[in-house]
Amino acid sequence: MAAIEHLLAALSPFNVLLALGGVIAGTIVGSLPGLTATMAVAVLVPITFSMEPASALILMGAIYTGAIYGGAYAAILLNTPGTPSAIATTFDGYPMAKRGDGDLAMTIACLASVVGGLVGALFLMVLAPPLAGVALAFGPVEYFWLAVFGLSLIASLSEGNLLKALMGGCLGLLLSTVGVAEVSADIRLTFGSQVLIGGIETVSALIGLYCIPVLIDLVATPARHLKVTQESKGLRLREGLALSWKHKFNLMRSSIVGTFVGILPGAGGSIAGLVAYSEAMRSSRNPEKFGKGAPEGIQASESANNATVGGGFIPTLVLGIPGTPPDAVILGALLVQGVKVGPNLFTSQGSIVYTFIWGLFLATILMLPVGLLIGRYAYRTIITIPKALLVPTVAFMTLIGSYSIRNSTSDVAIMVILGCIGWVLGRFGFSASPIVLGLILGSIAEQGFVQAWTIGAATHNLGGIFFGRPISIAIILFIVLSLFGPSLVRFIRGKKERPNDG
Amino acid sequence: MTAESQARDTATPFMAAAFAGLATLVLWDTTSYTDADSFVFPRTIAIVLMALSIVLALQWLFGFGKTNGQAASGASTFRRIVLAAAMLGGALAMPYLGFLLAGLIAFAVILVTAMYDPWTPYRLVVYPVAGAVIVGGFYLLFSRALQVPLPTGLWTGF
Repeated sequence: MAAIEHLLAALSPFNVLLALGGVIAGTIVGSLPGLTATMAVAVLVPITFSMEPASALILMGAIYTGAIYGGAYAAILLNTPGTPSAIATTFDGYPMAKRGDGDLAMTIACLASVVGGLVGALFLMVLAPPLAGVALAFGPVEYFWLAVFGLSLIASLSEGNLLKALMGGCLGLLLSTVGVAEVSADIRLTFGSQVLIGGIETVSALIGLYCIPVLIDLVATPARHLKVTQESKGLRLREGLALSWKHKFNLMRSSIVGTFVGILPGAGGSIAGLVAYSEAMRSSRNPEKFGKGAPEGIQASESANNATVGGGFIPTLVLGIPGTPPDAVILGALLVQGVKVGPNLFTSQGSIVYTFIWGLFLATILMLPVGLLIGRYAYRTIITIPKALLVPTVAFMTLIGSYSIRNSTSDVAIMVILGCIGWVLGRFGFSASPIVLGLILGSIAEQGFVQAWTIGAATHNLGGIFFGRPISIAIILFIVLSLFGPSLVRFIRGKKERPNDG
Repeated sequence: MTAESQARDTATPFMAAAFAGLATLVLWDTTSYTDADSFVFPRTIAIVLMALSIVLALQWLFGFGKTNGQAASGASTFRRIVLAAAMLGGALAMPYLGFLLAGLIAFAVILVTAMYDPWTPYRLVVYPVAGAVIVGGFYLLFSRALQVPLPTGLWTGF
């Protein structure tokens, strides 16, 4: 009975309106490169102070889930992740759009986001207290191996030249160390430049590395940005649903991966998307199609990053440890409201929590019509707008987006310069994705590595620290499987087929 | 071997040398760090990068390994340079001209650079107006709705 009461409370006209408005606002903000889900939530938090806690949570959850999904638009249509969570969406989304399947890619992304969001919310409702323990089980060394797991994706993004991909990954890792070192405060790799002391802002860098090369190539020829088919195919919802059903295991696995990565404080949607993408590729029968417009790639990335919304709320609400950066903002807003998060929240203030979770379900379901409509409109706009307006508009968006992250013109200049370097490197076979991977995972890998190294050195047990913990061993096994699994499968298949050849 | 692939082949040792040079620069920079926590990670990565650069150079030297670079097409290099210069110039001009004016100028330069269709009277009116609306709209969205403190110009005051 209590569950029905909470559901009805979530379905009050005011809460439905909040969920709808939140999803629309979040989707639009998330679709603009440079505006992250954290910013979307932070900007709109003051509105919630005058609301009931459950309604405030519903609005913030809806904005958050909409912003994470909105990042897919720019990723698919412009090869620029609207939010860092959508990095892996670019790998297959943009190739699909380039070959004329942008509308289908948008629909697939929307469906996958809804599935991921629902799975994350389901875990939050049913298993939040026991799952919160996962956040505490991960120490520095596990984070280090998780980052290495993400980096192992470089092998699959190598586009035929593993050596250059590894060099790109190293470049990204080095870029992540520029600025003031977190542990010792040494100033690293700035070479006396004041501009670089603040480090290289990740979102600005990925806007530059992904978007500027596209603009540079776009401006150089009169050819259209995306291939347009003669007949309008509409939303292609039936095709999208059929593909979602066909790859349902991929969707479920990626959603669960996203939920668990979301539980880990600091990991976030970008790592969730990358890990899920890697797993989708590893277990696919056609891994060679990934990176060339495989719908499974979009499904993996989008379902995983939206699942982090529910997953991230688990440690936030149960332990008071924010799972993702937007959760930290939401946690702050809850504290202002007088809500005491912690293990007793689900019993002492159950009506707030469960009304919110139902609200999250509602917002995720509303994302389907909202996302499909906005996605359709965004696609039509991108393919019909003349190139002379599209190029300066996107260029201006990258300028204002990269500025707004830290209110720094240095970040804008770094973004443009990195973009030009990325374009030059691209001409010589160094693709942007390994550099971005290194840049994003570098700080997590370094922190985990240095902390684990310090603990290991102090206890004279380096081997045990790095290779002796059960979770570490499990992640190492996944890394080995990711790196060598596809080659092993090809080898076994080759052996099986060889007798028939004769 | 085509002329394009020859051009790429000459670029490979250059790229290997550039990455090796970067690794050397990083190794040199790490010698000034006071704490082992600061240098252990970048130094490790620099050594790996150096090793990979050597392998790339050896691959080129012995004639194996893939060259998967993109050959230069008949596209306009001039337009590419103008685009990059307009964006970088816009970024650097922001503190002096203000975000709005620097953005408008950058937008206008890129619009002209990306224009391949003939300038008809309709386009002469609509495109600049559309550009002003887009820049102004984003400016208002960020400065008013999202409360982002966009830079005001030292010279212009807005």
